[in-house]
Amino acid sequence: MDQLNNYLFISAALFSIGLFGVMTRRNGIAVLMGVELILNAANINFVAFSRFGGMNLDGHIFSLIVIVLAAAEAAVALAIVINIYNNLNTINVDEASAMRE
Amino acid sequence: MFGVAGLYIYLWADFIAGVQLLVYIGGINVLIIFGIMLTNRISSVRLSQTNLQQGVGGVFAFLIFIMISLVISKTQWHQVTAAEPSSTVKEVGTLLMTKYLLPFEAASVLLLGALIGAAILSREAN
Amino acid sequence: MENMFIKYSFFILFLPLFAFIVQIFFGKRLPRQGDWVSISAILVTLLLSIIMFSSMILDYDKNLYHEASFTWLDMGEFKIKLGFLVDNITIIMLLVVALVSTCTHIFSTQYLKGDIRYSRYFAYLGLFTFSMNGIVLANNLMSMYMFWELVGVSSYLLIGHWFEKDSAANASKKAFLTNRVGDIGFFIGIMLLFNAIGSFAFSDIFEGVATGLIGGGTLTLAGVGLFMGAMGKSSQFPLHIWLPDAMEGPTPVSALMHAATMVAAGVYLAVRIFPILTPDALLVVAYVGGFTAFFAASIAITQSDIKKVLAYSTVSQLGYMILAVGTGVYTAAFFHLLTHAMFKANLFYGSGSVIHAMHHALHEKHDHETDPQDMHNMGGFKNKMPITYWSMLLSTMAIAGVPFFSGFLSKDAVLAGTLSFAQHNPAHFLLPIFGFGAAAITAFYMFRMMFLTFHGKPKMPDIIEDIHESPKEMTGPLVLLGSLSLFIWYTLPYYNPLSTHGWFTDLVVPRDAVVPGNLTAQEIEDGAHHAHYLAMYISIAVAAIGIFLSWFTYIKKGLSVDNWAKRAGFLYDWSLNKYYFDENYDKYIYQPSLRLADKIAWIDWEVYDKYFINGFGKVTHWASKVSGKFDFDIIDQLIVDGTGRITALLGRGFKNIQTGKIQNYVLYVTAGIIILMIIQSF
Repeated sequence: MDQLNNYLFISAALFSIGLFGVMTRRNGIAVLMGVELILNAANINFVAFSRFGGMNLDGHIFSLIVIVLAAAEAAVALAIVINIYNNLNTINVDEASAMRE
Repeated sequence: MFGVAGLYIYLWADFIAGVQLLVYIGGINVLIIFGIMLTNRISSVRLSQTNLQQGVGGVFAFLIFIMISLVISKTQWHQVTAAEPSSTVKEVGTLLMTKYLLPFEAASVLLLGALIGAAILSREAN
Repeated sequence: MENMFIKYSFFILFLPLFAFIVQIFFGKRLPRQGDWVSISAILVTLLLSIIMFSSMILDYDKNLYHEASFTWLDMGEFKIKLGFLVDNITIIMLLVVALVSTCTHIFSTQYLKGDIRYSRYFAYLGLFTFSMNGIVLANNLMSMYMFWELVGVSSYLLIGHWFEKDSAANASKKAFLTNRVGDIGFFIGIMLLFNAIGSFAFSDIFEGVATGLIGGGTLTLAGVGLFMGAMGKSSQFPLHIWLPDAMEGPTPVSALMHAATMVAAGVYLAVRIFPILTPDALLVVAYVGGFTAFFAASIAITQSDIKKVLAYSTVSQLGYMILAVGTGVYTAAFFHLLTHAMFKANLFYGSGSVIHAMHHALHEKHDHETDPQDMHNMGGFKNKMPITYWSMLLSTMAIAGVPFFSGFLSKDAVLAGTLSFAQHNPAHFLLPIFGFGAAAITAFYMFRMMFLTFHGKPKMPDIIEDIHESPKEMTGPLVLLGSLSLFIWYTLPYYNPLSTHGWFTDLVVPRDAVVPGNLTAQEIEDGAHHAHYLAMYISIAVAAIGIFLSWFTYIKKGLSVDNWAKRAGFLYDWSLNKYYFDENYDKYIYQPSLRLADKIAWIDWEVYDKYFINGFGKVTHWASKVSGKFDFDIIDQLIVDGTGRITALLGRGFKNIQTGKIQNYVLYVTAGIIILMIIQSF
């Protein structure tokens, strides 16, 4: 129990830091890094539960899929960021507010 | 990322750790570094790294952390102890091909889509 | 209504009213202008009154008393009952009114022949008769007051019959207004009584006073208040000013109203309310009456207009009656009312006859300057108008108090009462002095009138040929009433000319006053009885003195009128000019009142109208402006526009949420999650 909790705390902390990064950073890529952090935190959660829940490998599979998704998403996101950069000459997310009212 | 991989090792998830190392660090982080490289145009003016939301954002993130921690600490997790496996690779592979075949295929399709999308997005505007 | 008396009273009351209504609406179109309508109505009334009277004589019940009332106004606790009251006094009064009214109707057919408002005159006579009967038959103060006012109105209408003459119009106004002044007191008296006792009916009031519901000062005040009405109506000092002026009306009207009936209404009221008058109120009554009697007589001796002499004589005689009420012998007052009605009406008819003859004679000579009413233009009519002369002589003897005549008996009774009162209360010695003095003066000036008009040499020899007797419609009443001036009619079935004992004294019995502590009727009567013989001797003596002096001055010419006038100096002047009452009233009462009215009108115009009314307008204007501003500013701008602006503001505010920045959205999501978790945990 103790160990599980520890892992979960770690996971929570990572999640919060990732969230902080997403909300706060001005650099678009830094935001992406935050997203990665969040995903990783979730992954830790899965694996931890898998380990302490009878070594059920379902958690592993899921975590695998998450990694795959993270990769895909990172690729596409970076493509978008490069597009933004080419158009607005900046990657300050604050500037990318053409969709505001 | 390295730290996370280490944690995976601790959690007897050797295969996942390997995957993490390969994909995350080798692929995604390199991608990010490429992105940074390509979009790097730091002007002389020292700008802050964080935007205006930092105060509130910090508070909220902290609150989220507190709440999740509360939840964690208060919950009685159902735990089953088990023996440490020698390696998980074989089971993971088996599972992928049998139980989770569908997600496996879906993930590959998704990768395909991402590939195409990224390619389109990075085209030069003609 | 089961009762014969009440039934007849009902008809007696309403027949003249019916005649009035017919006459006023259809009179002009009827043949002979409808006078036969009024005359037949009044004849029926007379017939009914005679039947009632004979019935009364046959019953010979001194306690005859019939009352019928109905509820006029019922508001739960507050009830006003009106009704009829018939007792011996009522019946006698009804007969007097009917008789004199009939005589007036017949007399007027000749006197007002060819008058331009003939039918209206008869209508008003009917109205008057109705109102007078209403007063007589009333069993409560409220309906008496209503009819009181009606009688005043009739008087106004009749005095002002020839309203094209300014003097007549003014006189009628004066009569009505002076009456109203008296009525103020009347009404206050009525209200004081109602307030204490809760009813207007005589019977309730008497009971209320007897049980002490109202007493002392309040009762005196109420009594004096009621008496003020009598003062106004019966022309007592100081409200006597209207009666001499009322002579502007046609003479038959003067006979009916200002001799026999309307002015008698005041005395009638006094007689009715006698039981509730406190000793203080009675004193007021006595002094007012006594003073009026004396002072009016003192004016009459210098007047030249024949009707004015009779007018002041009426005032004086009314004073007698009031004096009698005040000294306690109120049945004597009523007796004098009865005899006075007869002989004074007769005197007025006689003077009417004379004036009628003078009019004719002057008209023949185309003389429109000479006053046909001035006695100094007359003289020596005795042979030319014998019937008029003899009937007037009978009545004059009656009024002067010559024995064997009705007036002697009634005056004697009054004076006896006065004397007895003074004997018991020596402080009030003035009252008999007033009484006997007035008697002497009355004898003097009445005979003066007779001598100037009928005796001596004609002052206008050229017209004397044209003076002739009046037609029988005019002489008829003269004969009738002249004969009623004899004593015998009032003392039946007894024949003693020196005693009042007769059907009247048997039937009209004084009742005790209900005011605790007053003298009982018996005591008053005893006192009067004891003073009777003394009073009789004195009254015969003063009458003789008066007649002798008059004869001496005007027939024998032993005393020169002019010399005495000069010697009397300012007294003569005062007497001739009615003590300048009218002038003084004008100076000290009318003018200041008019000035006050002017000032108040000024306040009304300048202050009230300008500031309040116009100010009101301005305030409304301002209010509407404010309201409009309110409407515009607040409602339009604040609320209507404001809503729009707030919406815009909010919109703009909310717009800021959509920054387009993803990070902000993430923040919001996080915030939402936190909130949800917080809510969830509770």
